[in-house]
Amino acid sequence: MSSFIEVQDVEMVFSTRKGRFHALREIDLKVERGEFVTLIGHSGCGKSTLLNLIAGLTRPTSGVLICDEREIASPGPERAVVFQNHSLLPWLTCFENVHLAVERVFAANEDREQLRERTQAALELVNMGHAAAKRPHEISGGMKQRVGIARALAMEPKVLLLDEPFGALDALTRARLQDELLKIVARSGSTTVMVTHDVDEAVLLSDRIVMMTNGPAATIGEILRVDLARPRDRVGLVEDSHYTHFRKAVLDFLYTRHGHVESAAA
Amino acid sequence: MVSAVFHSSLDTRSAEAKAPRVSVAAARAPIVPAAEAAPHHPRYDWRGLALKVVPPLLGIALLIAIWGVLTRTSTTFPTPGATFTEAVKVFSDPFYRNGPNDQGIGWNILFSLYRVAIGFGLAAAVGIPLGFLIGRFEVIKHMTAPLISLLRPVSPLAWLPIGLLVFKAANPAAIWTIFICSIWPMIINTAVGVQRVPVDYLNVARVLNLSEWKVITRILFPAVLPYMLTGVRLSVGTAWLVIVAAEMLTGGVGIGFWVWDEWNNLNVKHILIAILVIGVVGLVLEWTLIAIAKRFSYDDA
Amino acid sequence: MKTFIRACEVWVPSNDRTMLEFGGGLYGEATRFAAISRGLCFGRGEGLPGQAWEQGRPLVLKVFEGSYFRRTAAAHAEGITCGIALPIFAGDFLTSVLVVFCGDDAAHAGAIELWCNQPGESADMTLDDGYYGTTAETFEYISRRTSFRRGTGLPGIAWESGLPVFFEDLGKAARFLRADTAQKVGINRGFAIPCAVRDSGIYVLAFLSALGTPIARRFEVWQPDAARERLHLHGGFCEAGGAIAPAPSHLALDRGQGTIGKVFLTGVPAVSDNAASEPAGWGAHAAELGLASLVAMPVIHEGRLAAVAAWYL
Repeated sequence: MSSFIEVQDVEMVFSTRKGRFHALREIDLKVERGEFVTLIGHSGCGKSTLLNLIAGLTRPTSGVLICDEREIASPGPERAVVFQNHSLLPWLTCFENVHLAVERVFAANEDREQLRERTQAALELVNMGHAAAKRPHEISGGMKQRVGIARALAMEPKVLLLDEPFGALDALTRARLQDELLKIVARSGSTTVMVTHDVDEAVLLSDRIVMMTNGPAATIGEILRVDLARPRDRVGLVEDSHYTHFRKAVLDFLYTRHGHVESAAA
Repeated sequence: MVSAVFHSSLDTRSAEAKAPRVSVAAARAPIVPAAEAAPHHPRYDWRGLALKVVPPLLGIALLIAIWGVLTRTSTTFPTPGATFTEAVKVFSDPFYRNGPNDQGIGWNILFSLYRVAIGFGLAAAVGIPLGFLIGRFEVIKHMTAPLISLLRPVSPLAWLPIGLLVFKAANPAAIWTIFICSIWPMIINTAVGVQRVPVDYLNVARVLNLSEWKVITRILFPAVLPYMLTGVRLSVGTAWLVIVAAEMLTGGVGIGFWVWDEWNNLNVKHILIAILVIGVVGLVLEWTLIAIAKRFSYDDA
Repeated sequence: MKTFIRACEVWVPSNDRTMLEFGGGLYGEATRFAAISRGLCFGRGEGLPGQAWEQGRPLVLKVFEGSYFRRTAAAHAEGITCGIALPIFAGDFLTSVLVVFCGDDAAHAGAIELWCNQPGESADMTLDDGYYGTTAETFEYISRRTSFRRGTGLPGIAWESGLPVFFEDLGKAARFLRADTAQKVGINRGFAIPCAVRDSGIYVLAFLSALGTPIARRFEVWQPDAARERLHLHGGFCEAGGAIAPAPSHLALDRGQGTIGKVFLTGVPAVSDNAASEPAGWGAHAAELGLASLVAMPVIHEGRLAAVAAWYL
């Protein structure tokens, strides 16, 4: 039985000016349909590289990536990406930014009015309907990231890929957006792969946490199955001892067993 | 990031405020507060306004005073008063025509601007697409880089004889000189702009699977536009500078020619007026482009 | 014994290879259980050792009633609650079955876990089953939800190397149970032994304990030399003295010499309750450290004996 996303024995070696950089080795991963998987690890462990490989933005040096039984050969709207730096085009309004994506995916089959409705719905989904006419520089970081998520979701992708989407935000905004993401993902049922540094975020959101060893030549170390009941409530979970156990397990992996030493990464 | 490309008009303005200016604070007053947004206080910020208007006026007044003092007893150099009287005469009939080489100051300015526009337009038509290609394709960049580095520092006026040789007439030669001097910033700035398009935007385009045409029009072009406009703005300043010099050398109709002509007539008052006019037109060109650039700029913090 | 391992026994196939016969055991205070066990033999598929033989893979049995277990009453009488059977195969050939029995003990904190990977199907090594002491609930909770990759973690490293592995510190940030006695709980010591099975599948048996209540007081890994004539002490860990350095060659064991040498010779696990009688100076060393009971088992890799793991209870 094949999984929705399969990463088979993938290696990634970059040729840089300073020589070859072995980013990833022996990556095998299966993600089921509708699952929420988090990639976590220290900087330089290749988690963003792995996400880019799944997105199709990079091709692996060896190995194969498969999504919905088709090889991932190039990027596309069915594997929508939410970038770390929102990447909203600054000369377009929020509406136009999302509309660009909607138009690309649905213009062939739908008329202008339908496209407009889709765009507006996507913005409403992330509570940004009121700011549709604003330009990115007129809204806050958290709002920009919301629009980035709206743009990704508007494409109705098979897979939602998030690269440290909340890393640049303050703690309160981050918490709010995590809660919103939980609701959105529950509603849409999309398969999600997220890269994060944040242990709490990983435990709160994921079905499985993939913990990566340190680079170079990083690989998957351990995978933790977080089977806390859904819907998950942030405040309730603080009291849940299982949540604490999961959290400690991930922290132990990251900081007790695979503590990151800056000099060793060079 | 992009907004840093444009330095504030305040920087250039204070330098030009020191140039001798007989006229009319009225010509300047509407321009002074336009660039800055009025503060939204219940009470108007008189102090701020005063700070912006009074010192420049004082500076100019001081300059005129020194000028007056120095020329009070001079026979060759006109006084501020005499220059002003002459200016009134010149501007009272700016569009007369007495013959092909004797036309009103208005016509002179327009002719010079016409040449700048043509040369400039050609430079944009050639330089901007070339800049795109250089920015996008490594090979072309390596091909053209040594040529550009070699030819860029050459004074435009050195190109003038070649223009005269090839085109055999003053007008095309002057336009050619404008072309060759304004093309470099356009090429270079556009190329830099293309290279500096954030990878994230291109990744967005890739994830959306946009066609090459859409990438160019919806992503590359708007992203490069601010750089292009900087290039254009830099070119305009140089172009205006060069046209005056080129016209001095080639003759015909134009503000530069008029300067040289008046020098031959030893009409120093007219020269001073010309200097003022050249400065004002240059400033107006620059401000127009800054306004256009602001219209198309965006903060992408 | 002070650890929660109550008994270790070895079962070997009879000459006609129809039955498993008693091949030695350590029972500590479980004398009744010992008496019953010594007289038993198991057919293929019978009892815990027979089942391990039949299924061709390690088994963890925690519920004796209604199962194939034959010594339920005696086990309960002695407080034995879990049996772990390790069949040792050389290819398709069963050489022996090692059975370890554990019991609940309020004072200990530890676990024995059986980890498994099916190559070709998955890249993960997951928990097949395990026995967990009374204070190891959290540990069990997380273990059941964790999978290791080759080369990571205690089971992952045993998997990758094919050799026994000892971790002085598992890196699971121990907590303190009571600050006044500064007694650490949290499982952070362990050793893992890869098990060769008949069919496909990689199994690793991991013995885990907390600092205050070790599973074994001394753990050794012995490896044959290049000529496969003698067995050298490669390393290990002793609660008394810390990590054990590789021993010089004059302290190596010949085939058949002592309990550990016997394992080297026969490829069958061996036990001894008189460690002081071991040869080549090791017996004296054990007596010095106050160690009496010894269990040694072969580690087979690709059909050959790669190492002998020995632990002193």
